Order: sequence, then C-alpha cells, then structure tokens
Amino acid sequence: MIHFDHVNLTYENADHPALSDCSFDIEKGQTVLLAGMSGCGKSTILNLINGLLLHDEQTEVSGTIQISGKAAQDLEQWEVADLVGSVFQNPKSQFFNLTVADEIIFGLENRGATRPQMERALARAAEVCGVQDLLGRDIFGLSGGEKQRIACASAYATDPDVLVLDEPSANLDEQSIEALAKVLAEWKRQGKTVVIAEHRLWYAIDIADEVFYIRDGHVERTFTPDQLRFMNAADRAQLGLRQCTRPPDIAPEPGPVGDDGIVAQGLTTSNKRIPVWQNIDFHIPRGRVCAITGKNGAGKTTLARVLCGLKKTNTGTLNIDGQVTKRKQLRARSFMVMQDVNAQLFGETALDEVTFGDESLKDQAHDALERLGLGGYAKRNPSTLSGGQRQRLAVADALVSKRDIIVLDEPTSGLDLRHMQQVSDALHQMALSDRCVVVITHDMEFVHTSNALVIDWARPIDRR
Amino acid sequence: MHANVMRIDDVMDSHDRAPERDDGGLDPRTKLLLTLLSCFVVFTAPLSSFSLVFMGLFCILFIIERMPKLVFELLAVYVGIMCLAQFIIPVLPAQVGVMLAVICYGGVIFPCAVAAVYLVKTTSVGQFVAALRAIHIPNTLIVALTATLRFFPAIREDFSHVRDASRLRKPHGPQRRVDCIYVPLLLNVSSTAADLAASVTARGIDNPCQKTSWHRIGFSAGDAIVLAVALAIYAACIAWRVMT
Repeated sequence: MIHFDHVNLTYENADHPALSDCSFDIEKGQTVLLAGMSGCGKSTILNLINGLLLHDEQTEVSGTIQISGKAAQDLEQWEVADLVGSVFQNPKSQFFNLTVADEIIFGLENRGATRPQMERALARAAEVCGVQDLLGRDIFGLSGGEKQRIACASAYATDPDVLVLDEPSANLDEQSIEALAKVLAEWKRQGKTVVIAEHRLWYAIDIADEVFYIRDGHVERTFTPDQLRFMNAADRAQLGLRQCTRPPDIAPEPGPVGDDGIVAQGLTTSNKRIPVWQNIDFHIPRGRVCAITGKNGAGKTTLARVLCGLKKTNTGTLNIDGQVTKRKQLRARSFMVMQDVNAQLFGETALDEVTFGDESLKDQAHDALERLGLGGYAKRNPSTLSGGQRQRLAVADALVSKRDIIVLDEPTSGLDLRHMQQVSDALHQMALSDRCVVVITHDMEFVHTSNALVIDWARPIDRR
Repeated sequence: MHANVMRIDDVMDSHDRAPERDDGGLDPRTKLLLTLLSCFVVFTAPLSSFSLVFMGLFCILFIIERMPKLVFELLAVYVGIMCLAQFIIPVLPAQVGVMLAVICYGGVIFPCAVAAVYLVKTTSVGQFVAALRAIHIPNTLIVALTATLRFFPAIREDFSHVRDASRLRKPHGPQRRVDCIYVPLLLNVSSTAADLAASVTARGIDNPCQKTSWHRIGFSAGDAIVLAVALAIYAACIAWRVMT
C-alpha cells in the first residue's frame, strides 16, 4: 500500500537531511506505529505519505514513494488527499470550520459530493468516531479529546484507504486516549491502512501490527508489538522509547500536614456565571512536585489561572504559608508554563528569553538550558525551535525565574522519554529549592517518573 | 465513546438537529447585499437621517433574530461616539481632538459596521460559503475569506493567553512590554496559519471539481421584503442627494 524506496529529504535551510535512505513497505490493512526520539523523522514520513511535503518547493526530496501503487510524486496534492486522510497533533489548529458537522463534511464538499452522499458519510463517520452527540456543537467549546475524535471523523469521512496520525494523543487524558484507541481499532477492522507516529506507545501498541523504530531519518529496526512489550526497561530506555504498558494507577497517599505551601479552602469559581468547580479544598506543600490529574474539561487550566492570580474566585481563600494571599500578590509570586507555550515566548534568543534581560542571570540561564537539552540553542530565536523545544524553553524560564510558585500546564505533551526525564529533573530541582511546584498533567507516565504527590481533580462539580 | 450503543436512527436524529437550511433568517446573499447597500447609503449621505433609518432596519432584524442585547450594545457604542463628537472633542485641546477624531469617523461608517455585525452574527461559515459559491466567487477567494472568519475566534483565544503571560511576567520598559504582546501573538498567528493550511490541503481543498455545499440556502418572502425596504431607503437617499 505504501512503499518508500531510498527516500532522502532535506528541509530548506537545514544542514542535515531529515530523511536519509529511508526504505520500507506497509501492506494494505496494516497498522504501523512509528516510534523514535523527537526529531528522528517520524512526522516527515507522515507528511510525505499525505503529500504535504511533496508539493513544497523548498523541500528537496529524492527516491521513490508509492501510495496504492501510484508514484506519489506524479500525483496532484488533491489526488493524494483522496487516498490518504490525516489527523494532526494540535487539536486547536486543525479545524477550518466553526461547527462540528461542517468540519466533518468539509472534505466531501471539496470533492463535490451530493447531499445524500454527505449525509451518509456524516452518519458513518460520526458513528465510527463516537461524535454523534457533538454534531450540532461549536468546535471552540469542546475538550481536547472531543476535538481529536472530530479530527478523526473528518479524516475518515471521505473514506480514504490510508490514514496517518501525528501524535494524536499528545493533549489527551487517559479516557480520551482509550476512546481514540477504539476508533483506531475500528479502522483496522475495516481494513484501513493506518500509520501512527507516537511517543506514548502504550495505547497504540495493542492495535499495531508492526512498530518501525526510526532513527536518524530511516527505519533502523522493526519490532513486533510483543518484542517491545517484553523488552526490559533498560534496553527500551536505550532506544529512547516510553513504556509500552499502561501506566499503573497511583496508590493514594495521605495528604500533607501543616500549612506550608498553598492551602486552599472552599474555592469556587465560574466562567460566565457557569460554575467550573465548587467548594474545593487542597494543599500543595513545598519541597515536592505536586501533580494535578483529571479528565479533559474538568477545569484544571482554570485552576492554574487561579493559582497564578489571573482568575478571580467567587468564594474561598488561598493561603500561602498560613497567610491569606491576594490575587495581586499571587501574580507577583508565580510563574506559569502554559499549555499554549507560544503565548509566552518573546525573547530574541533562547538565552534572552530565560534571562529576561537580566545579565546577572546569564550563568544560571546557560545552566538551565543545558539541563533541558537546549544548550546548543542559546542563540536561536524561539520561533525557530520545534514545539517540544519551546516547551522545554518555557520550563527553563520557570527554573531561572525568582518566583516561588511554579505552575505548569501539560508540560510534557509530545515529549519523548529523554526530554520528559529532563523536565522531571528540572521540576525536582525547583521543588528542592523549596518552591511550590504544581504540574497539571494527563501524562501518568510522567507522574510516575517525577514521583509527584497526586491530587486527583475528578470533576469536582460531580463530586459534590 | 458511544459508538457501540449507537443506532442509525439516533444518527439521523442528531444530524437533523445540526444547523442546515437554515429555516427562518435571511439568505446570506441578501445579507451581503444589505451590507453593500449600507455602504452606498453612508457614502451618498453620511451622518444623515437615512443612515439612521438604515440602522433602524438592522435593529428590527436583530430583534427578529432574538438578539435584543446586541441592539442595546450597538446603540450604546453609537451614542457614545456621537457624544464624543458633539460634546467632548470641541472642548479638548486641538492635538488631542485630532487624535480622537479618528474615532468619530467610526461614527460616520457605523451603519456599515452594524451591517457587518449582522452578517457575521447571524450567518454560519457554512452558509456563507454556500452563498459565495452560489454567486460564483472564485474558490481561492472563498478559502481566503473563510479562513479569515475562522481566524477571529482563534486570535481572541490566543490573545487572552498572551495577555495572561505578560501579566505574570511583568515586563519592564515599554519596548519589552510591546514585545511581550506582539512577538507571541505573531508567532501564534503564523503557526496557526501553517497548521490550518496543512489541514485544509490534506483534505483536498485544491480539488478542481465543482464544489458543493452541505448548507442549503434560498430566497424567501422575507428576503424580498427586507430588500425592498433597503432599496427604498437607498432610492430616497439618492433622490434627496440629487435635490439638495
């Protein structure tokens, strides 16, 4: 179905090729998982299969690529789009329409489908991807998990033979990941050829027929799922891969005692008069990384904004070390690594970003960049860094900032094993310097790695 | 995930509820024409009672669409601008007055703004595209226009994140303060644009076939009445202009 023969690819202005001598075959009906460290070429392969890079004049491609027996280089972009459906990483920016049904039907409108064809495709895609209840909704109000299933439905609606997915789980909680896994399993049952690039292997490995381990721009080894499942942890870490089994549940621990750190009592907050959560108590002690876990859409990002003094609470108090703290004081004491990390990077270089113009912090900043694996990028403009690198740059900002409350919103979405460990180490360093470190995360593997104290943010409204 | 408990009649039922034609409301083409007419009226007779009557027409349309709150908001803005022009600017020093005069210009073209708000607030992107296809606008232009519409809510979301970030970091000095807003905003906009472009290309936007629309549009008696009223106002406006 998909045939790559000695494919080489170099991006514009890049000093080394993104793919070098990359050859592989994927049979019809196979589900293949692409694994490997960040920057190894996984996304590049997907963007060749869906044709996006073939028609990009600044990118140099050589070698043979065949999709469904046709030479991909000879096909127009829209002809490739008929054969291959794509789901991208960021649920926020892959929607062209504002309502769900419009989005799913979009590919059919582009192909000039008739109204009855569209109705059938919509019903089928909605059923397979579990989005029937969302059809009339506005996309902007949906949770990350729902958005990603809609992205699946709109890729699937045109009934392509091949579906490619680029880190579809990066922003999802475990429940949404399981829903996504069901969609993938159904595609496989229908005989679709599916190619998934992922760091989080545990959910995808059950569906995969084969795992391609990509390194330095080519398939270095292929594994069966069982080979990876039964590989010992040290060998797996050597390959830079995350774990292949579902992270175990966290055993509950007794809550911290005393009143050091942040103690919240009876917090209630609302968005446009609709309560987000009500009457919440929690305690975030100093000296230990605290993880706040819970479903997509449970109001965790709102909590991050409250902790940083960016959002008002309707009732309740936030005490720090026993002192009632006002919003303005919170803003002066806190630092947030946002989920949307692009919103907070504005330095001319990575180094300038971390020092924030304060020359005396230069040594510290170099050290922080080094720790997060960005040592070679100090002089680069943040906008030229990859998504994962920007994420770690914001963590370096937090490390160097003199604030004593550090809030991180999904800092590991889309990081490979090594980078996840770097972030985990950085958080430990912050906690050791007696700061309050709060991580909002769905990534249970990361919670285990960082040995965090877990506060389960099960939708508090329901809990009441 | 409900896939395993789903029945096909549920599916039919739920997409019957999805926005389609588009019952009630004006045809998007009528709304486009109204917007165009409002511009003609404003440029034929700026700040005249014709402009006011035209705005009155939109107020009625908003109320029919059950958006009375918007009427009050728009009126409040208009009254505010008029008060600024009538009472405040005359007593201010000339330099400040010149700067504020730009806002007063907003008062002149206000009817066009009202028409645009009506178009945007009462038309889904799907209906809008269907209308543009019906009047044979080239596909490239349609894509550009709808992408722009799609951008506004995204930018609003991005902007609130950027503002949060800059409130937390408390940049010193005007240069840094400006950087804090526009650098991340530009970065966000350009990365959203690149992602969106990839997403629409991967779904065959450049397919050369005749495109179709999920949304059905069509003229009704309501369209005829509204257009007749609007044209009458414009005709009266021209007549008045010729006579004076």
